[in-house]
Amino acid sequence: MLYSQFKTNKMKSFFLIILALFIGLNLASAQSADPAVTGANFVPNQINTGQTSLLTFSFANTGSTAIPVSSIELTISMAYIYYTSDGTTAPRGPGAAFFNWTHVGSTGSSDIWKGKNKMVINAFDGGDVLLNVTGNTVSNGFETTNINVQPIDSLSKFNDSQVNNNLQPQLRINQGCPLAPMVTGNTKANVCPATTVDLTTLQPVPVTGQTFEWHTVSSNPNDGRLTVVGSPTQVPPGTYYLYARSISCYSLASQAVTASVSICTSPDITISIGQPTPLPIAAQKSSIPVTVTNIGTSPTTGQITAVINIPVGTLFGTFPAGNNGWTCLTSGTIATCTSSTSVANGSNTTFSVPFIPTATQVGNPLTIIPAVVSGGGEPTANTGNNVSTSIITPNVAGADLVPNFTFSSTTFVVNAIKTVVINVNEIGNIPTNGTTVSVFIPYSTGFTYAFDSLPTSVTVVGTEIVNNPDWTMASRPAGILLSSTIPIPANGRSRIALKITANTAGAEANITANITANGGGDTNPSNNIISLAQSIQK
Amino acid sequence: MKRFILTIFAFIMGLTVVFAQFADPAVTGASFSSTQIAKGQTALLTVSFANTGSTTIPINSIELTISTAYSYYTSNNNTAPTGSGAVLFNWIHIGTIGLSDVWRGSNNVAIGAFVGGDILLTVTGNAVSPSFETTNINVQPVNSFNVFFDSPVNNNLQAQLKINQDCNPICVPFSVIKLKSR
Repeated sequence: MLYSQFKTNKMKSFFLIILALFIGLNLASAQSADPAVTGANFVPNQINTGQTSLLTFSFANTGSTAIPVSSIELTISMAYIYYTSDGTTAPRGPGAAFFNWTHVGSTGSSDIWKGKNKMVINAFDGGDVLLNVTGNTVSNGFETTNINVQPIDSLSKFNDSQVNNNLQPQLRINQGCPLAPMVTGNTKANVCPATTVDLTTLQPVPVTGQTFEWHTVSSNPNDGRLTVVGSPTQVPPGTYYLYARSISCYSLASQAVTASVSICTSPDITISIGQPTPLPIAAQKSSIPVTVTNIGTSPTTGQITAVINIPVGTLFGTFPAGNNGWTCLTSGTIATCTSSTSVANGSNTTFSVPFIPTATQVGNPLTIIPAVVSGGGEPTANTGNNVSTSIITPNVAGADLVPNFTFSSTTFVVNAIKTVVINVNEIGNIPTNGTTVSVFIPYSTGFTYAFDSLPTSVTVVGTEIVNNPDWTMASRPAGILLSSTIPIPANGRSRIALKITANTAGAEANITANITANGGGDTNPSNNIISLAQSIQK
Repeated sequence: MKRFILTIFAFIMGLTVVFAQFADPAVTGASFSSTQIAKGQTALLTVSFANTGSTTIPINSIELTISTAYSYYTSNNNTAPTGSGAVLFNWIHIGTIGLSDVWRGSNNVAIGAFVGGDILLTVTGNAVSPSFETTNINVQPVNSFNVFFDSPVNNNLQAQLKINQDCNPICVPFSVIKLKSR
């Protein structure tokens, strides 16, 4: 029984040992390697024919035991009809480095890269696998690339999960650009005075249906158009790219356009006119001072032209010699003056335009309408200030004629004859202008007036020098009108001797001399009348 | 626009020149045909009127007044002044006999430059005057004042006449007496 018990116990122990050994062996050799592809995409996921996209996926041994060498195979099978790798450049990246790659298939029939691991891939090891593909044919939709990994040997080493052995990233091939737009230049500068650049001048002639955009980056302008240039005719300095949206064509990267803006300098000319010097006097020359100023940032270039209008009704006077380099041609009342002398920025040039008011303008102001300047290399943008203001002159001055009498007494006896001298005095310090001066002497009942055009001296009290030869007489219904065109000098006088005969006792008279207004350029008609009370003794 | 304004301005200035007015009504002489007359006799007053200015006196714009020394001599109150100067006026007689004797004329035509003439009025001596008695003659603008450049110094004259005792029963004109005295 003991033996039997021993035998039984011994057997039991033996089996237990065998079992423990078996279990121990089993535990020591458990394998859980798991090759997996865990993420795949194309960037971008849409390309045009001829463009490339980068396939990226992650390979890993997700298991806790190593993948033996040459025990797994990773296959990348492209939608070769639409896009392919180049067939020679093997996948790259840290994940790809675990494999020896071979390209399977022929161009146009298939495009498969197959990799067999060339080294042990430890637990949790792996990395990205990268592969470039090129769009060949426009696809109807997103076309799939199959990626598969699977054990092919040492199968006992794997605890391979099927669900992570396969991925199918997709790529769409769109119509590619038939003809990349070619800009007509790679640099463009602003044209002063503009401070921006017009890119559109660099665009090629568009083909039918083609519209252009400009972008600040050369990348895909489909991305929300965030990079599109709003006003390509007015862009700041920078680098710009042409894009033909209607045909999805970028300009080549080498077709970037660099816009540059330089600081603008240009002449900016203005013109001003001043009150004439001297102030207008009938029949005398006055000159309009003209100033042309360059308020710009660079000297003038070429000819400057100034157009000045003298007042309507006036005549041009003789222009001064030289006139500071300005030459003027006249037509009517317009003087067109030119100068080719450069005017430095911040400087000015002056000249004068002479004119002569006429007698009919005496007592009235003259208007000099605005002058206009142009030329000098001034850009159009600076021409907004090329017109002067107008000038209204003071009243045209002229002579001021005042009459008075030189006489011996104010009483007559009947039949007495006396000589009275009518003095036509100029008191305005301006000579008469040669137009007719007339003096009207109305008749007075009881008296007779007689004018003799010959005497140059008469006796009033003493001898008086008179100017009767300068005057002519004409009868009027109520008196005599004496006229002369001989100028009376400034502050001078012309004297008219008149014989007065007393006819009627007791007659009273206002011997009156009235100088016709405006005659000789007289500007002041308020002092043209003088009367001398005379009487004849009763 | 600027040219338009300038044109208007020039036009207005032109009008100013064209329409500058210098009319000057004047009485430039006055005398009685005799400086003395006897009561009951007549004397002829002659007044020289003229527009001495170079522009026209508009119609109804001046008034010429002849105011006699009514206490001593008067017009006949009915016969308006005559003569080439008088026809330029419409005359009215103002006043009551014995209290005043005023003839006032308002020009009934435009009076051109340098136009005028004599105005004649007969007066009769009514009462002996102590001395030479004055008839006032005055001309003045009464309307359209802007057309005048009137000089007041030739707007007034004062002719004088003395009325002597009448010569009843025989009256010898004063002028005849003077003639005989030579």
